[in-house]
Amino acid sequence: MSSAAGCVVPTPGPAMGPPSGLPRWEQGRAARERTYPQGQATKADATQEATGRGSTQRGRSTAKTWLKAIELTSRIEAEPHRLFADIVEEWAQRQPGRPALRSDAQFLSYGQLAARINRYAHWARDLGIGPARTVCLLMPNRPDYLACWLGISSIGGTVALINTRLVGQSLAHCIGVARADHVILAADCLAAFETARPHLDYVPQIWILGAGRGGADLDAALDAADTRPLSSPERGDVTIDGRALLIYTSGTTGLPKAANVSHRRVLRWGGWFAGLMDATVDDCLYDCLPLHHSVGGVVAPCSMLCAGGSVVIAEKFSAGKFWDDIVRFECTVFQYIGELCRYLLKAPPSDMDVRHGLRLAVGNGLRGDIWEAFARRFAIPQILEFYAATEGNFSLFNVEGKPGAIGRIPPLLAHRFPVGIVKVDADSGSPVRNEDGLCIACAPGEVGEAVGRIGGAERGGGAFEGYTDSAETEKKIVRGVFAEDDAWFRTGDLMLRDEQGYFHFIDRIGDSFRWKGENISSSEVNDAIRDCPGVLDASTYGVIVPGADGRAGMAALVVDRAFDFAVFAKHPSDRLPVYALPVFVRICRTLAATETFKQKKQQLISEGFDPSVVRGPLFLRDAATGSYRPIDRATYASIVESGIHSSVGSKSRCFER
Amino acid sequence: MSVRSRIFSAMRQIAEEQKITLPPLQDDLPLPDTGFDSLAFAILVARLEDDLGIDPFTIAEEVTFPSTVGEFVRAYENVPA
Repeated sequence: MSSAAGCVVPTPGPAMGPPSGLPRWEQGRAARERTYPQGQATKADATQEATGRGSTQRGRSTAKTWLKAIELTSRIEAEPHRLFADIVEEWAQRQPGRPALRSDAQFLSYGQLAARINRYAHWARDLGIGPARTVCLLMPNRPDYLACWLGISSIGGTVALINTRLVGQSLAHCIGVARADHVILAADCLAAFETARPHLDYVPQIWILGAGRGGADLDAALDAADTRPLSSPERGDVTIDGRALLIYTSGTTGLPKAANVSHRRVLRWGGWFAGLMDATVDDCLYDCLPLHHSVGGVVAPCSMLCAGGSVVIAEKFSAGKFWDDIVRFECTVFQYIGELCRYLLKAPPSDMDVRHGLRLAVGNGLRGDIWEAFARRFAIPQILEFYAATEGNFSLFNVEGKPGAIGRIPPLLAHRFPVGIVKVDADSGSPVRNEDGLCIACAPGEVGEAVGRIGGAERGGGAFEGYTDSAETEKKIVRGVFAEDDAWFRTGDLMLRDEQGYFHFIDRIGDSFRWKGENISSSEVNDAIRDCPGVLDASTYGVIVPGADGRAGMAALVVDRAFDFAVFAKHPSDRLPVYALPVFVRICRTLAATETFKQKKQQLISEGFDPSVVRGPLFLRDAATGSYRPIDRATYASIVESGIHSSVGSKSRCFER
Repeated sequence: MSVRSRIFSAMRQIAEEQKITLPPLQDDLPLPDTGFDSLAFAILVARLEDDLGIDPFTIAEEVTFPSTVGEFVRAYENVPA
């Protein structure tokens, strides 16, 4: 705890360093070669390693894993002025030359990262950015992304992390709700920004990184800025209570919502994961998830930066490049989402499969049906699956590596993060109430909505920091759950808790569904579709595709003679990100609705995309061309047999969008 | 030394390290009244795992954390080391 960087608790004794003096990745590789001399993992070995009960890799027990995470996060409240940028600065003092952030195009050592953070901080301060000021950031995945938000937030500004794949109205909406004074645009994002410009109420000051016109030159401004750390008076009274980021979540109804993320939560995410991952200065994490999301952008990089380790930032996931990158950058950890593991598992076996030095895969959404096959084939020694939502007030961690579970709250934290599963009405999606007006807790094995009690720092539950829109915040809170005066955060996720207390993810409730790692709001998609010429009515929902995680978007349309598939295929793509475009389309005569004009989707959802069940024409979107073509029985059989990719473009193209 | 006295001894030591004022330890003392926070409990469970060779809360089928000192001690006494 007294270390210079102050974030990592050095473990005394023999566990402290590699006995051979080799870097950890070399050790991992040497160990692997001993275990699997032919480069072939034996089924029993790898599965046992990744699914061990009660202990994690390197013999660290579950109790000690939790202890480290709690230790790393317990200092946060005691030092309210110590922000994440300070952790980077401390590591920069201690190990300036060691790698912090790497990509193919950019290398930032700790010293360089700290200097870059300070440049952003000085630049922002000179512009008068501080508390109550917001800067939108539109930049593809690259090391500079982290320097940008760490710097601007360190002097009190909020950085709104905007999804770089948004266009038009959705993009304008996200910029609008941030009430931003400035927008930082990587040159690559200029074209997307131009599609949003006509929809903006006002245009903030534009700053451009890289060659491009239409705004001020941020490169030049940063080059002129100071690299020294700001003094305390220069920085002002910025504490962990202050807002650091806005991170967007797709709402169950309507457009993306901007969730408030305080410095406290940035620090907690970094500390929790550094502790649970047992991260050290020798670790290198591979991060190919979007940096504008909370996991790819905060959890993954901050877990390593908290521990003095390094992060490789890939621009995007590519199944073809993945293992090359892991080996080339000598990564020891990678951050996954379940879909990514599924793509890797579908690729043909290769020599590269077990040549890596990975010790840990950490992420969320690795489902039980592929967990063990994934761990075995790629010889992943440890898997740390977790559950968390950007705006959520609790997280679950599967420290023991129980296949298919998303985690559990350890008994000694149960009082601090009370989590419940309550019965919900299947049609309305609302919690069911008993005769006393309270919610009904689900029994073990019973599916309901997961809720987390809202409370203060150490007592009664986790804080819910809400959205920029207070009405949206209120919608996520349910009151009178187990007592008249309590308040709980609604996750919108259906889960069950097994006899051992492990939670299992079932599905999203109601209107939103998950596809390719993104939550898709059916109402947002539906609004875009309904505007299309020739579409009289539309209903959008998700359908299960065998072998794929989540649900694929499907639109049921009522059309007139003006409808033209060529126009339809292009129309919503001006307003929606590619992953939100309907994969399937069916044409109906009418759409059923409730008396309150809510669409009745259950029948449509259950019919799916099976041409022997669906009456009327049925179509599939070709990811390569964007056009829709009819689904016949042969197409259907092919999708059921070998997944949607066999029919729609290549795997990597499908994922890379 | 009995399991009980080893647990009490560990609690007193952690209380001293963490600057927690520990009330007299007796079976019906509610755990929240010990003054132990999450960190102190995490240290306690990790130390007892080293000392006694067990962590009853990792292997427990039921996930409820004990509510009193007596229940906490029994959780250790009821698990064969």
